[in-house]
Amino acid sequence: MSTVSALSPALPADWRDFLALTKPRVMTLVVFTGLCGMLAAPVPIHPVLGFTAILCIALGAGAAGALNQWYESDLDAKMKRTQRRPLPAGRMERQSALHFGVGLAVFSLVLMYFAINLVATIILAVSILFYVFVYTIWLKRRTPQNIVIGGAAGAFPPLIGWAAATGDVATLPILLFLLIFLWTPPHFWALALFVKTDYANAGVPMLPVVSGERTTRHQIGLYSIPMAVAGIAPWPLGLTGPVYGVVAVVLNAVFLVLAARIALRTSQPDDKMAPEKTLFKYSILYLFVVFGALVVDRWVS
Amino acid sequence: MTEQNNISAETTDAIRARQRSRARIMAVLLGVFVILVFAISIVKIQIAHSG
Repeated sequence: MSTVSALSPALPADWRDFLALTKPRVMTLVVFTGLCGMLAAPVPIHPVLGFTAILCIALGAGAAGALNQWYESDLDAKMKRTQRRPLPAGRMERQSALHFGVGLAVFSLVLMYFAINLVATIILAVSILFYVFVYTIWLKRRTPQNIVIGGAAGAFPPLIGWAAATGDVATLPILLFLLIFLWTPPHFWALALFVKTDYANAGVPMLPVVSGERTTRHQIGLYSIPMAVAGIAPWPLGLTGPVYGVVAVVLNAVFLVLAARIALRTSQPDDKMAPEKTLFKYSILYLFVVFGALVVDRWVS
Repeated sequence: MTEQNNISAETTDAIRARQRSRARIMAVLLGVFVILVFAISIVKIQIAHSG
């Protein structure tokens, strides 16, 4: 039996495994924030070009996800949450993932340049390179600040969407960048609090593993304050109307309450971590609704 | 020997099926890409004429 297996040529990876390499669930948030950045721009973009720009953002994010999985296949194999991915599960060769990731990245950039403009292409290139080299290769295994600085990679899509429509960058998309940048630490640290063992087993220096639960809880509370400021700021600065302003105030108030609840509590033995799970889920809803409100506000005004 | 040949045939069939499935997806994606490039070209020409 083992002789037959050894002689059998390896089965080529299924197309679904290539799709899984692109982290489709993460991509939905990237595509949505990119689309909202584009729709919030003061200059309309032709639907065909708008679709192409969003496609390029999605492909660029997919490429970054594939390269991340290529580099981290050893870590993924150690964590329950990720061990069924195509590389650790042995359904794909590492080289195929590398070729796929690089090919997709180049394709997305070339298409963005020829169909849209140079500014959007440069920001897309920076976001892919930042995610792969700064976050994945440099920071993730070295410092508990990995997601603080690395979070910038996921904050670029609204800037790219805006740049695709206008050809430049302005205050509003920079504030949207800041909002996602400051949203990332509380979002991921809430997750890290209830999957701490997984990260510790894999040797990833997430904040709860390195500095302990108490520090992480305080940091979640602290980061939520500038995040709320960045989220509400477009309204008093006159960059958005009251629709966005009211939604942003309510959503940020709820976020601050949930974050404060985590910051002030101490987990018990066999704790189900319900407040942490609630904040993690709410933070995803928060980002979708805030960006949705931005577009609705633009249409209303 | 017979068993080995059977398994080998099954493996070959599985590889062929996987290759066919990937080729179909690739063909669809290339078709979509051609349509997209055509649409982008038309839009760019329109914008150039109106601008």
